[in-house]
Amino acid sequence: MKITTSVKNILEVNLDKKTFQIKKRNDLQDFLGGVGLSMKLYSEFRDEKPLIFSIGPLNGFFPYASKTSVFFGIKDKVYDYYIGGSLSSRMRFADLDAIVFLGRSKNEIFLDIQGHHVNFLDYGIDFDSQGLPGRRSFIRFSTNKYLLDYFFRFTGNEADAMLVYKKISGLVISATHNFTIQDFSDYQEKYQDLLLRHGELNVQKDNFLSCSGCPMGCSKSVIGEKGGSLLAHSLVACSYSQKIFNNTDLVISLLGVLGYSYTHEDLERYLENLRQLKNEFSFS
Amino acid sequence: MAKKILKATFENRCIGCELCVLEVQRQLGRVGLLDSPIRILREKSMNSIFFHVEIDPRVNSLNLKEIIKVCPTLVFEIVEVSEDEDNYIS
Repeated sequence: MKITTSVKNILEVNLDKKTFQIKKRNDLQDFLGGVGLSMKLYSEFRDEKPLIFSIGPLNGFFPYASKTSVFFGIKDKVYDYYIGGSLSSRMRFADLDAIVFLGRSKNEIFLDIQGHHVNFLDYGIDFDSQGLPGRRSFIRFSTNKYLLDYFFRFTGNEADAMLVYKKISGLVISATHNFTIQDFSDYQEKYQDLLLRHGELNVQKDNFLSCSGCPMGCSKSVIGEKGGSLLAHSLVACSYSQKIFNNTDLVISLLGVLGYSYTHEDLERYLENLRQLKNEFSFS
Repeated sequence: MAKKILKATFENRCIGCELCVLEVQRQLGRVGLLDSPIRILREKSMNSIFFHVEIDPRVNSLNLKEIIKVCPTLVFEIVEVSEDEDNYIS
């Protein structure tokens, strides 16, 4: 399928009613992705205690854009977290820009998300057999923390507390789509160029489990991040790759090959709007 | 007659980055995980997480050197097998 640059696919999951709907929204173009998109969606759903997972336009398509924005509020504070692993890749290839979990389930549940469809599964099912092999990403409660892909975890305890509050015992998201890119040779060239820039990352190459699309296997990615660069976290890249993704020339060219027509002024305006929007919240 | 095939000889080195999956998909002109000739299956035993690298023989018609090159932990190698062995493997 082709990349749709003008529409963002938002999956709303109502945990109270065990219902879901996909909304194809063309009014979110001013919110690039990640933290920007999350803040916008949070302001819309604030009363329903939303837990928002969102990605940016580069996730799945380019190396090092391997994180997922996790955004939520507890009391009067909002939390802006990032987690690595394979989640952002699965969301991209499920053709989802964001998932908004609303309300709270009455019982412990597992959610099986395949593309734009959600199965609400009862506690006690064989969770390991859910999702699509080779294309799935698991988040589940294990001992005292939620683990993504059996390994990656959130920083702090608040995201875990939010998942416990919502009674989501586990979540599996599976990829269901492939994408085509109009100028594939240009895409290929930009992909290879970016991959060669791993020396600019602020981590050492190692043999730990890696995030999808990142060759580093670094020791840092096991624990998620909190806050950070608005541009890198709109894309959604890890903070160790900020040197690469804070380069707006590069970002515009990467977005361009995917079909987005952002200019320098657009990005400057976006970041300024985001700073203003950020002032509406009390960040932890 | 000998034939060159891709083998995940050092599967135990895999760190799950999936760059090989994305490489083969790009060689096929697409981006994603669907119908990939290489799949990375994440598994967990009591105390460890490991990866099973599943290779569809159709991968052998692609540019194997590029697949080997993209892997940061050198999981793959190209091995020569006789046609008989290849039929057996396939």
